[in-house]
Amino acid sequence: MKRGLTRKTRGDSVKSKEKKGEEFEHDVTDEETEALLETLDETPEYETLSIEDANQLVLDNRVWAEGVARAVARAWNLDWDLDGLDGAAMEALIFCARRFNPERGIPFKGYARRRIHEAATEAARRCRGWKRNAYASKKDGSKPRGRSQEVAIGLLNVYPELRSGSMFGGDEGGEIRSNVRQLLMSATLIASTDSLDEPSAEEILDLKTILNIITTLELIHQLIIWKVYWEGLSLRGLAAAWETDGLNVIREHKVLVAHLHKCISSKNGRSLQRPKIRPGLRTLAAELNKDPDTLSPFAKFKEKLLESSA
Amino acid sequence: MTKKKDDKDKVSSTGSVSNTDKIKGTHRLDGVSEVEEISKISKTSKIGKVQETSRISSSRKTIAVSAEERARILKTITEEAKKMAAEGMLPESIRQTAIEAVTLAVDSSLIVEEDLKASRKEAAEDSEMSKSADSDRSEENPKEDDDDE
Repeated sequence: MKRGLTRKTRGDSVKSKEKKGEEFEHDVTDEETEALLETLDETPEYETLSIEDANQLVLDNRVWAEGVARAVARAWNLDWDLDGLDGAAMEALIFCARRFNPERGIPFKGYARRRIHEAATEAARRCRGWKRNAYASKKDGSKPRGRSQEVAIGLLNVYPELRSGSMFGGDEGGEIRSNVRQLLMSATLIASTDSLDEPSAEEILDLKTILNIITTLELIHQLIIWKVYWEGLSLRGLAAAWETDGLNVIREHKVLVAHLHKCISSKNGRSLQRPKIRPGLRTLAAELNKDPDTLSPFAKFKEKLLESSA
Repeated sequence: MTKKKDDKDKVSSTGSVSNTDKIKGTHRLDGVSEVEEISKISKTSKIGKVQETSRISSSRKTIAVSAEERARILKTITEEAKKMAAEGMLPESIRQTAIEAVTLAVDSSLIVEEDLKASRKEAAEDSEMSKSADSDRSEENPKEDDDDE
């Protein structure tokens, strides 16, 4: 059943970003290119470790990198060795060791963990075991978990701090609980958008509740949710596109998720005061509001959704 | 002979300026009240004991967690999901997907100490095997080694 809803898949968004990149390259004038080359000449060389030191770093951290691969394999119910996660983790470790610059003051594990996790997850997605887990029914008779696997990947993209292990690394119960709630809320949003290819009546109703709350938000807040959950952009990617500090978008997103959380839990969600725009994003918000081409993406989307459900 | 009008305006040279008298002082300043007595400054107390911190902030601990900690974190996901479902926050249609997805994402990000131990053990076994293989090779082909030398 084709509903005619135009939602980009996560793969499409990457392609479109690549396209944008190409266009950008063509738009650069000769003067700008010259200026860029001049700055490159002035920039001191990027100092990395010697090959011997980099190799030693690999040997020192090999066990740890395997630990990251094992964690990924355990979660996705794969074999870390047979499904090729160990190789991917090792490649990423070597890559990071050769690019590592100790003078920057970032510890190696802090620098490499996210990349190793990404490499191991990508290897997991490509292996046969992934597809087997995605489509095979479970022993308890519940549905195959292909959809949850994709939603989990979406979560890892929205929250890169999950990959670096800093979100659940400690013992503070309150912090863990609030992080879990935030993740559950985000997973609900991702799962709602992922079910749009063939939504059931129940799913449309659930999504309508969320959309009613989102459409009351400021335009910039709506755009954050749209770009992250509907277009699959990462928070840092969005910040780069808006030429603003990544933390501005990351913190604003956290506030938004908490607001959605409160609204859905209170029965009359609309009566809650919408969150204010943080100072770091106010100029951008004003620009977006002035721009006649920037319309609320959710207003259009809601109309289409209602039309298709009618 | 009458003086010209322009000559009147001309300033002739001035003599030296004599010393001014002493300024005898101002009579009175209106509106400034007397400074009242400054009350005693009480003694500052000593700095109390510096206490130990219970733990370093959790977000900085990024190496590995124990199996118990992992189980506790995963249990928290189920508990919070139940609470949110009771509050009507997790729609029925996607509840199971959302819980599974969060569990998968969180679990994949937790390095468990036991995994590291297993990796260390395997690495030690590998190095032992490679050492023994090297020694076997040198015993089997002693001539080749001699030739090389």
